[in-house]
Amino acid sequence: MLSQCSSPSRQQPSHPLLPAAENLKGWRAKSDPRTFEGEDLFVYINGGADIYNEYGFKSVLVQEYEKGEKHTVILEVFAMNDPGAAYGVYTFKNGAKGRKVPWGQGGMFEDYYLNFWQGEYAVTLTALDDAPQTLQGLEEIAEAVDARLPEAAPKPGLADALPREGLIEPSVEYMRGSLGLFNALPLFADCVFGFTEAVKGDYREGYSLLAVLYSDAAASGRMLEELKQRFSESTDYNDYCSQEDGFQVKDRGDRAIFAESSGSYIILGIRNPNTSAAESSLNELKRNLESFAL
Amino acid sequence: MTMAKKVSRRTFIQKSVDLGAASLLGGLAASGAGCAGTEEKPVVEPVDIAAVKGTNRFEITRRAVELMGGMERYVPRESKVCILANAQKNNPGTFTHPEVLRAVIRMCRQAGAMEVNCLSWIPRDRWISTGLGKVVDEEGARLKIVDMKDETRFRSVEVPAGKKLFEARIMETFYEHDVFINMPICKDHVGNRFTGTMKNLMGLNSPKSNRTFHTGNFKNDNIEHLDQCIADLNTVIRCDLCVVDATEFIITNGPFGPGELNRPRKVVAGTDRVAVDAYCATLWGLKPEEIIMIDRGHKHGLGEIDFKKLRVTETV
Repeated sequence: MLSQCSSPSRQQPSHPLLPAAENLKGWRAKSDPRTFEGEDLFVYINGGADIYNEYGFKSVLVQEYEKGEKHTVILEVFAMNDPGAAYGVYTFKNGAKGRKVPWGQGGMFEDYYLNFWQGEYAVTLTALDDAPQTLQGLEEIAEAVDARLPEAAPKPGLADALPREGLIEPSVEYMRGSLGLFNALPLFADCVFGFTEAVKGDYREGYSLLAVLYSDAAASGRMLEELKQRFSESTDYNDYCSQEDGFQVKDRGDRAIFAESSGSYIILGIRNPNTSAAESSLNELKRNLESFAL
Repeated sequence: MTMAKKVSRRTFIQKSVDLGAASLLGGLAASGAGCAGTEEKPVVEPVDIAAVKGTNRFEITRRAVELMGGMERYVPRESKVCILANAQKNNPGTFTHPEVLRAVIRMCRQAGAMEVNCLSWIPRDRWISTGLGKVVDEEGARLKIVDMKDETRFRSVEVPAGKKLFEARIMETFYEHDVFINMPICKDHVGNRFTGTMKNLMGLNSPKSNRTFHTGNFKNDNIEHLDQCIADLNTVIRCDLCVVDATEFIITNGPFGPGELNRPRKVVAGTDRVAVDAYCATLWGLKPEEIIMIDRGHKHGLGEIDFKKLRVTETV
């Protein structure tokens, strides 16, 4: 149910995660905060709710702030089911073109918005205008909200499996379902991938690596066989070549896509044309996955 | 195919010819054959897709519709017009720009529409916060908000061609109108990578029905369900004209953002929703044939996916 958090005075926050007025550097609550829980996320953001539900969503706290009559910032604090879900939402919403900010366990400022995460919370701040004062307000409010969040919690171990050499850090995406995977790497939309979790990262040398965890080796083996069949039969891909534990194929853009199973994992790589790198990173990823205590 | 209440299509087209379509900048004008008292004007050959680029959203919208033959071609005098604009959220690049809506409402009124109504189950506060509500008031149109939770306000409509969706629930008030103008903003969508004219029609369908388009568990269901449902929905709603805000929109984290903004500065108009969506998808490098919804719409016979086969005008 949508709940209204009434406040007798807009100067004092009515929610424990909202900063006190004196910490907001002149920003003031424009209206009462709102909270959307569970299914009501669809009321707030319609079809945009799917990705949050896929990661594991509990509630979102929404508060608008204003400074003067022309400057507005929207704060959204997503409470997810666990820190991994919050981290995943953060990596999903994060782009690769922004600059790091020091709040939370990771944060990025991009154009007119700012994302960061801490523990089970993923925070987004949006400026509704591009005035310097409003953009500065994103950081002012972020700092104040950061101080209200509970302690940090470890991000999913799988996220650290990606080799660090050459990794474009903001490109890392942690996924928990097909929707996240489809947005990171659009493959077969009619395929139910049915995995537990996955992580993808892009590398400066022109390739990407993706590790997908299944419940066990039998499950990853079955999915690999399905992928082999799909890629070999699809007219969208060519030069299919079966290998001992996997396969390689090319897409219409002449990118090489290779996949192999490694225990409970399927490892995929996408290599741009004219790039020969990836082999050593791939081997390092396999070693990292083998040494993981999940 | 179920559609808004209409005057005879043949009568409408003849009246449009008699009245003449609006004249264009640069000398294009419409034929006024057979109507006493009107000046003779050159025949307008409307294009299939008109994409106009510029910084003045009102003017480029007006121009795009003129290239489509003018609003009189689609709006008979004394007709009731409904418009479906996108007012979902006030994040930059996520809602139909107010000046695009302003232009369309004004052109409808100048064409002689008796009523121009913006239909929505989006709450009024979104219309206010996006500035769209103000434009509706200023241009003499009406905002008709349907309570999204009142299923009695929606009509059950069978979807005979449906492959995933077999019954739609369309706003009852939609059927009180003669003309329907679809006015989405094209942008990214996390569910299927693209939203435009076809997906915008979910704004006429009840949220309860829309919820069935989104499967609850992507661990066990596939992505294409949403796209097929959208294509199915489109088989029971006819759009007389699509006017797409492609001026500034998000290409990540759609549909609500915030996300990376793309600024082609275009308004795109057309009557072939599949072709219009296909064109708009290319504005940020997407391949129309890879957008399942566009492909399924094409397979339903709703339009041409290879928009280059059509008469496309791109101008500034």
